[in-house]
Amino acid sequence: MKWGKSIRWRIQAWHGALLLVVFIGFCISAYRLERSNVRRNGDRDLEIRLAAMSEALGGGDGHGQQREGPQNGPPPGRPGRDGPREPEAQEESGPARPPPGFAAERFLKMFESSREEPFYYVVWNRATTRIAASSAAPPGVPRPVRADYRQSGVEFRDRDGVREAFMFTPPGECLLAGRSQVGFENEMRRFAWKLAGISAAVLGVGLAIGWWIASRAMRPISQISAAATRIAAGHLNERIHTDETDSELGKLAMLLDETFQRLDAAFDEQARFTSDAAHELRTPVSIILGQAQLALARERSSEDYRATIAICQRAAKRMHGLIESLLDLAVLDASPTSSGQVECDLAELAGQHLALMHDLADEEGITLTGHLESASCRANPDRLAQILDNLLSNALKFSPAGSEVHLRTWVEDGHCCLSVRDTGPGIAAEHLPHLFERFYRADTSRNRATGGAGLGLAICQRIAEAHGGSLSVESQPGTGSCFTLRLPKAG
Amino acid sequence: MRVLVVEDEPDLLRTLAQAMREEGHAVDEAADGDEALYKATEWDYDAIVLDVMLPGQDGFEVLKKVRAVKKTPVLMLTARTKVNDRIHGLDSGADDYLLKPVDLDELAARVRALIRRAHGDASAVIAIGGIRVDTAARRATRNGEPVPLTGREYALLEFLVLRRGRIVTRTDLYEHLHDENDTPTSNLVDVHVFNLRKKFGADFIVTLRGQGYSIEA
Repeated sequence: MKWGKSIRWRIQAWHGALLLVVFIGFCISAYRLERSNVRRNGDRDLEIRLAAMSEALGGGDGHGQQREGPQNGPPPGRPGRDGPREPEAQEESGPARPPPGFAAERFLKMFESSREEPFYYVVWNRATTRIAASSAAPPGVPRPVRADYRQSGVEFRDRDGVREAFMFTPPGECLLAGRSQVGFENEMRRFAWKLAGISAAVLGVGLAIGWWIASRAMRPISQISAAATRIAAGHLNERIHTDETDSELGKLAMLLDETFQRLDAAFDEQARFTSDAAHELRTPVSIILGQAQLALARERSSEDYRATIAICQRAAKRMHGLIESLLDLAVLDASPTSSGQVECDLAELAGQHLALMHDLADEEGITLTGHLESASCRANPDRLAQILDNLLSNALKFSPAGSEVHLRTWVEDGHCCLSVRDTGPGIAAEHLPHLFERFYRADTSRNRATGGAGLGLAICQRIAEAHGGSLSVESQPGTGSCFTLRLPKAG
Repeated sequence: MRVLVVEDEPDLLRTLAQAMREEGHAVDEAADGDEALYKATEWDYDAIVLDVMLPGQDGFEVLKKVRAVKKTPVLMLTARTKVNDRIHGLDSGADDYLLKPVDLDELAARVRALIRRAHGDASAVIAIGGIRVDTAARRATRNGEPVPLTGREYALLEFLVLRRGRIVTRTDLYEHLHDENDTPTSNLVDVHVFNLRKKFGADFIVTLRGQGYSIEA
């Protein structure tokens, strides 16, 4: 099977695509969330540092320092690089009189003490002169331009891989704290890779589980497909036999099994029927061929020829009867309902047959009686006559001399009924279920020539069914049999 | 040769029996399984033609029961074309199989072959000295000259020739040359033997006093 056409592959592809979309979406959101989180933290850090710087500057105020100090800013002659040592010296010399820019020196120290942190600061005085800068500060940091003088909060800017926070003090100094973003970007990249790696692993597991689930779901389908392939190849006795009897597919498999069963049975029935029909036809053909061969083998007397012709005639008659029966069955099989239905009275039809059969019954020494109540139904009278003829001649044929055959018609529960009861030998219970089967002969010791081919009752039953009725039998060995025909009442 | 024909269809039984009789066999008839089994176990037939579909016991059952006590060659007749049927028949001990409708000449030839093979002769022509017996054509020659024979004479000759080197009792001869409906006079066999000796030479058939007849191999 081409994998693109396979349902299993298609399920898997859709499943994979869905998982991929979900994971990509998840990763992007997680990455963005984390990035903004980390950035916010970094910004807060910068803010804290700015606040500390501002405090340090303002701290000068707290110590009773003149506002001029910060206003003037650190002296321009004091380069940032010397910062780390000088404030110490200043402190050692005592807090009594801090030199101008002392506060700046203090926070400069604060920054420098944590060298690992890529923080830096720059301070400009009002006159946009850079008055202090940490050693880590890149050269040429441009002084931020105050966009709105009324605004006094912390502002942020991004510049060549650095993030800088700045604020303006009321006197007009500009404090700037910056941080290189290289570490942050590296961390985010690492995080992204980690996220992608974990997602890929989970995606792989998800795909594997999906494959497994698809396989499980597809197993009954593959079983059905395999069994159907074998059955299609001619092994009609094969079945699907799935274990999942409750699932939708299990039910489908069971349904298919039942269908195959019926199909198989129908084929068997057909094969048996054909074989039986061929068998029944072969015997008379054998007789005709054999007799002809014998007659032609040498010169014979005219009596011999006459006997041969008589035998051939009997065989031909048998073949004719058989062919008619087979045609009858074929017609009945082809059309589910009998055509040519008219309103007719069962009693009337039965009466005619009773009269016809009387002579034959007398010959056999059988008493033929009837009790006929009018029973009007819609039926094909020729077909009904066929049933009557068959049932009556069977009764006469199987009953010994001195017995009785009773024909009755009546109406019961909206059905027109007709029964033929005999006091003959009866039929053994084991034969009753097969009695209406084609070519079934209950009494195998009876000769085939007189016993018929075993199609009569099968035809009668098919006729009854074609009229929406039924034909049934009750029998007790020793006491006789009773065949009952039930047809729906007219109107 | 005495042959039993079993067939439930009276017209077909009659046809088959007549064909066998015209082949020179003594033919017994049976129309159902029980009768067939009784006759087949009661008598030593040279061959049995047995239909599969029989009322009562079917042909397979009859065959199985006959096989338990007799080695009589059996040819089965069937109208069924199923291979299984044929395999089943041959496996249950049938020696040959024929499908209906039967060609009577083929049936006769197969029965002849069965009888011949049962006595260990693969060829249809059996030669003893200058005498050749053609079992297919039912003719005999002496020194290349055809010898005219009646049906009974030929049957007796063939019976003895197939059993050459062995002693054949008069009872055997009676039982195998006459069917169940014949009532032969007791010296009929002696008459036929006398006639055969006249045609093939006095020492062709040896009389063993008190035992029967024999042809030297």
